[in-house]
Amino acid sequence: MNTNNPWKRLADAARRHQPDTGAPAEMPLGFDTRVLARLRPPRRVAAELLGRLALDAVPVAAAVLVACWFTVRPDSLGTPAIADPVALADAVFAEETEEP
Amino acid sequence: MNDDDRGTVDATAALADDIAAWKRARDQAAARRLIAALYPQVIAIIRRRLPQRVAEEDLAQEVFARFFERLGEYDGRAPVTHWIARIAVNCCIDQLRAEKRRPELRWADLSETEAEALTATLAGSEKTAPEASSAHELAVKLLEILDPKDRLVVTMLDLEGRSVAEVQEMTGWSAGAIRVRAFRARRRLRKELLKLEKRR
Repeated sequence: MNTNNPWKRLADAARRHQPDTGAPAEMPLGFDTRVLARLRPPRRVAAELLGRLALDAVPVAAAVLVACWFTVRPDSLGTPAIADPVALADAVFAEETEEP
Repeated sequence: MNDDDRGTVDATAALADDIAAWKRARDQAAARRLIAALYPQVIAIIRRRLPQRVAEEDLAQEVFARFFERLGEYDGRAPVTHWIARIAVNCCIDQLRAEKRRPELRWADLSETEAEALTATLAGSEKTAPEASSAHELAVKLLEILDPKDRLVVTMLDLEGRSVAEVQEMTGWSAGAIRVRAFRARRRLRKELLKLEKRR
């Protein structure tokens, strides 16, 4: 900075001033308590978060389970699950030929 | 070793013990002792670097909250006083960033004493040097046009008379970055003052 620099002149003058820092640096009553109240144990926070997520997930999981059940259960297909096609043919034939 | 040195060593050892106690078992009594020991330094940093309108206690709480949250990362290589000073400086920067920056300084923005200080500054002779307290007020107002980091660097270097090494210690920035910021900021301040001179 050269001497023609107005900022240097201003800063030099300002530096002579000792700023009033207000009241002495005494800690306000209860300050430490307020700081400690802001702090939470990190592990407990994580556990709480996990617990909350798990609880929130229960109804969602139940809904998904029910939806899956209705989607894939064999009854919902409307046809009986018969493994043997010959037995199926026999059953249909017997039904058709049965006298009222 | 004289009594002062011995006192400093004892205080440092006490801080280290309290930090260890907090890390080990989150000892509340140790935390209270740490807060009490470091509070004067933290509040001094906040008061020097923030405008009066900022609630200093809220910011001090924020500094200590960050301090305890990160204390697990503290490895003891640097003194804890330097470490918390960096946290305090960063909290101040965040606070300054949240505030609206002044786009430019106008004569109308100045109080009577600030305007007198500006006139004396622009007159540019030793005889008309501005009065210290109004020069300080004006300088602080003028610094509001700068980016928060630039403002911090110039405040520490030009208004507090600190060295680049001290600024480096308090901010963790490289000496090169500090010099570049200071150069850029001083150029901007000079330009702003010359602009004010033309508008007089």
